[in-house]
Amino acid sequence: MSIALTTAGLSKNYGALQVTRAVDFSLPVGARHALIGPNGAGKTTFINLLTGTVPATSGSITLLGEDITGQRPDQRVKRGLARTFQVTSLFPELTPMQSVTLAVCERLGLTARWYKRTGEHRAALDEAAEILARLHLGHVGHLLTRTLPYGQQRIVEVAVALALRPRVLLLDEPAAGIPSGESAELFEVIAELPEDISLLFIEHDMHLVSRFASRVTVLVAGGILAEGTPAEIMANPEVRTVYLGNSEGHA
Amino acid sequence: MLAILLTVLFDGLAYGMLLFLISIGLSVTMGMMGFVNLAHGAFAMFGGYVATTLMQRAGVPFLVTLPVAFALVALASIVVERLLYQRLYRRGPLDQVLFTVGLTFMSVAGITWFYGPSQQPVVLPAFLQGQVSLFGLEVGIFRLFLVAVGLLVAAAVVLGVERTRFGAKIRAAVDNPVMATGLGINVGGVFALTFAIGSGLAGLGGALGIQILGLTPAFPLKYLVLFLIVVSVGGLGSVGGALLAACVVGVIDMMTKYFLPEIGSFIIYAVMVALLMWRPHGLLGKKS
Amino acid sequence: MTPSCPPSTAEAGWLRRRGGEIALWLAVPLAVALFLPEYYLLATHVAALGLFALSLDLLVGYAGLLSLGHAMFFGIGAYTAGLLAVHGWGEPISGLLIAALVAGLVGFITSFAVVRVQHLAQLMVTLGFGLLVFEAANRARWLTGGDDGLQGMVVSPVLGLFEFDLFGQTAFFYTFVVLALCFIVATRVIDSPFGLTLEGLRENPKRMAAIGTPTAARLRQAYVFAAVFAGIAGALMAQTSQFVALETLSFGLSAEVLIMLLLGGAGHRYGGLVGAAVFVIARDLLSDLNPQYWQFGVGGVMVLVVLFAPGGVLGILRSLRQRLLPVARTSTAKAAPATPATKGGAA
Repeated sequence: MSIALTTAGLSKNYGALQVTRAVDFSLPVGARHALIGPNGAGKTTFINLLTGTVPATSGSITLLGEDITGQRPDQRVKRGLARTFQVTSLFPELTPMQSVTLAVCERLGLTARWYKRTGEHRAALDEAAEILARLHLGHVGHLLTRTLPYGQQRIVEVAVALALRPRVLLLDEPAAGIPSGESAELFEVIAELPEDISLLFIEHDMHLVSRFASRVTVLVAGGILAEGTPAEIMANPEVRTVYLGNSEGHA
Repeated sequence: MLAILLTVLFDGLAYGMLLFLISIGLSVTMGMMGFVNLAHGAFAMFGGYVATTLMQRAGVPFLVTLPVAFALVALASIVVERLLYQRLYRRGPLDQVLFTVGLTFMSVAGITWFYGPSQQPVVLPAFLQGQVSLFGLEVGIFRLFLVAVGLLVAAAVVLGVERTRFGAKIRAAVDNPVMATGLGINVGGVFALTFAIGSGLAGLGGALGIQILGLTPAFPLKYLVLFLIVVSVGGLGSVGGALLAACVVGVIDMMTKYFLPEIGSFIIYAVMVALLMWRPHGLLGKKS
Repeated sequence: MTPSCPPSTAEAGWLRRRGGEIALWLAVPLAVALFLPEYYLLATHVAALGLFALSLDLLVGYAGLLSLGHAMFFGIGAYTAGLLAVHGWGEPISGLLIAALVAGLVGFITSFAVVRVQHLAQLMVTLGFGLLVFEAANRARWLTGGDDGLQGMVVSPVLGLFEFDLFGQTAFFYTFVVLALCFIVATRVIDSPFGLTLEGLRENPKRMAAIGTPTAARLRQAYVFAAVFAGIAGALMAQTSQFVALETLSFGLSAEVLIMLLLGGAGHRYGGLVGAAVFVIARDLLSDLNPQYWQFGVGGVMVLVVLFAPGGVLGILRSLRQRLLPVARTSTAKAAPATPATKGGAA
């Protein structure tokens, strides 16, 4: 089984505060991997370290065999690493069609081109429309993103990330803020993603985790507490004490 | 030569203290709300006009006009903040810049209408005039007075921010307004009061600065750049940074005016750009 | 700010898409020539300052980069064209191109510093560069004439055919044609993937980095575009008035052009042009007014526009249209392709 993404001794300190402690983690190609842990465990920081939004204090990150530790976020994206944000981070005054087109254009290296209208880049437009259709957003593609219901905005998050054709996709609580009934719907969309995309997602709801993840890593106080199949993790007494008390608040 | 150098240095410090008094409120409130308030100089100007009006029309002594200028400007600023500014906290910087420049234009025109465009006179009390020998250096008493007031205010602000309950709330609100709200701090109220104190200090600075900075209706536009340099170079929300930057700006400006009048303001602008390249968040600003 | 998305209008025919605009661009100069020839000078100012405001809109309205020192490029363009014409290079079109080049070069060099910082520091760096160039021009009297302005420009006939006349007819048509050409280029830029990228940067720079955009490089590119257009605008102003005032470099002009943008509506291709027209015409009509009244009025209008009409004149027109013709709104929404099938179908 080949490895898509690994970290070795990845750490992040803010002064004396250690928010990520020597994390050794690896994500196989095609993985459906969940990252869980109580609030403040450093899950989002871990994602931020992987994408380069936050620079690591020490340790290394390897993406598809290449050391990306020192690279800027946009350089990592070019090498196949995409993410979504826990708090919706979209383009409020652009439409989903424009947002996804933008991501496609970036992947195709068109965003410095000013002498041809976007409308003339047929391939990019068709691809964007295809992605929206695949995620059931075709009918709202022309509306301003800020006018969409929150649940649809969460799916636009995924659509923008997918337009980058990532090899590794990091989803930071993709269903955050969606009523629990609708979050399964979002995960159905995620489950339909191509199998060669390696997926790491943060999620609190253990039902969703056990349904959609094949492996789970538990992060506590910035370090890995346990790793295994959802069943193993649910049975782990240490995890139960640290995590399950917390999960009731989120269910 | 050395004596001249030291005198100019001291004048620069006194000048810097005025810049500090006027800019400190801008620095704290800008750091708190991220509101780009280019009308701050107008508050200083109002302080100056309050002082001259009281002195000329009512014969109020100079020293008494100072607390009145502080209080009146602080009061007026609360009205402006609650009535106007707070509508714009969620807007982009473009709207904030244009709105506050618009307010500045209105105050400049309004003051010109009532007072005319000419320089306002100030008569200092006798005991603040003249020179005094300080460690063998002849310095103006008024400038010495300015340095003392500046340092006193700086100390009071630092103590107030570091040691009092209200100061703790200010620090929390500057650090993270969202979290401060979550902790039950009334950020809007804290901000309004901070804004009033900051504007009051600007009014005080305007009143104190009539002699050295001059007082004409063009004041808010003429000095706006210097205030902004102090705030940005010092670092948003940093009292010590503002004091340091104000002294640096005051001394450099005074030095170049005295020794290199040909180059004029060139140096101060160049220094500002260079410092911001070196430390984009200011000398003592926290990295956001 | 621009709800009609470029991709959705892709299928409309070129003439159908731009027909109305082209008619407008032909009608305006014709109307000026036929009915208002005594206002050639004023119309020339509107056109040059409109181009200047358009250049700033690329930064402020589209890329979300607020500059307080944009007059720097207008002034550099003006002085470049002016100095060329003083020293024997009176050919206007090449003068215009050289001015654009110089302004673009200065824009390129300073863009590294401007993009390095954010927020207040960015405002201060743009302001700082503007003030530095102003001070430099003020001190270099031997070159620029200092605060007396640059005098003695001799500008040759445009294309060797059209002499600059006393009525300002040539000046107006020359400026208007250059404005139209620049507007076509700017429209291209705005409708391109690069233009879309700028809007993305305005809306959410963090997300732009997360989709792999080298954000600093794109902002620098926008900055250079804005500098080039501003330089052309300044050169037009210099060549048509055969004089360069020191004020072309001043902070006051940087502020004025922001006001024009506010009045017209930032983030809209026509915002700068409309704003320049409103501002320049109002100033001309009210020129007999006590300057205090003018300043108070401008300040009051700025305050009111920000509070009650943040979209400027064009924003007001848009919301009026939406209120009066709610049907038009839904029909544009429907006209936009909803499914990939309709997109792929028409070509």
